[in-house]
Amino acid sequence: MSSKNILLFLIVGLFFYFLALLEISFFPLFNIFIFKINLSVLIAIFICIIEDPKKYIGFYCAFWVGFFLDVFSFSNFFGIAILFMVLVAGLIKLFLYKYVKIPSFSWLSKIQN
Amino acid sequence: MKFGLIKKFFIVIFLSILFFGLLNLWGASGIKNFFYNQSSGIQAYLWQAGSTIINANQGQLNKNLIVQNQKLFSDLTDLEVLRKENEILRQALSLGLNQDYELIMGQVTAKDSIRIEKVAYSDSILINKGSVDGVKNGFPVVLSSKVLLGKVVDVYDNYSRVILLSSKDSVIDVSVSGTDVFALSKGQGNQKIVLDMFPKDKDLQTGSLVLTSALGSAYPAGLMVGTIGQVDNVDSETFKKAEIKPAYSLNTLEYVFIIKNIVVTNEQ
Repeated sequence: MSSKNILLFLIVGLFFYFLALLEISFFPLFNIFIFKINLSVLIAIFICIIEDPKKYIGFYCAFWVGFFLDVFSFSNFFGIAILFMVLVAGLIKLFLYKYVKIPSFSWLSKIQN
Repeated sequence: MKFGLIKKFFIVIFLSILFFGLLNLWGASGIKNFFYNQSSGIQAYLWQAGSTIINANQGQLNKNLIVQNQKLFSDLTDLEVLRKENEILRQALSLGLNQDYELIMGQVTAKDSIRIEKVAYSDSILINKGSVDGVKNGFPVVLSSKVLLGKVVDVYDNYSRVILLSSKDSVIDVSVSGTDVFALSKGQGNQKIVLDMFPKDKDLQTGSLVLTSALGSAYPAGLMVGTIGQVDNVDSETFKKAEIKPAYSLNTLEYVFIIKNIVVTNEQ
């Protein structure tokens, strides 16, 4: 894993950390639909869909979303959300790689290179 | 080649499950406690900011609440936090809360509404008191005005999870003012509570107070649960049901009290 990938991994982690804090300590106070759904999960799935299936940013997002879901969403079994999110990301990428040919946003893959 | 990839995939899955299984046995609560500690300041600030925005937009507060929230928002020094803590304690003392129960005061830092069967609770909050402060599973949690909030279900070193009365995992014995009837208060999730098991032949009025009863052992008797809202009297049902409007408001939750033990025994 190159240093650029490690840096990207940590930056993604930081982003989802602050989003998790907003989701549990700020958004619940507002009765707005967009604040009631889990934005982190949606963003992670969205990135998995639009990214080049061979790239890894989607996995980074899925890992961190799962990690902070396990930490902050009061789950009794640590790791379930991580495994679930990484599995979902893997399935999305596998499906897109094998069965769907849509143009991915090339700028996302360029960040990694 | 393909078989090798599938084999690797299953090995990774197996090792991951093994890793997380061992982590849950020995270290998961430490990780959670670490993150709760690190983010408690930011969480408290975000919670207060959100409450202030909500209350300012509602336009229904009395002058005292408006002044308190304005001061809280504009002055975040330690002195201001201590002043607010003292006000809450004075209110609790004037209501005799400390004479009835032994209390631990805590602050709300987060709320969660995700529910996964037997894994995670809905309608639960996180408070900044834990086993270090003497908190244990099952301790009731109240507001300074003797309003019942819920009970502690998970305890970490410095934090505890409290399920609210509206949680689907919350069922408590209650009595309705003006009647000699005991019923059940059941959480429906999403901040909704329902009164169930109320006899059909008894009168149930909208606006009646719902209090914890002496029948249940989980909570002290006489704590305020809410008021009766809409009453459902379906002929095919064995019991009457009614909506309970909670006595607490999530938007104004800030300082709470955990009942450590009951000093005065329940009146029969």
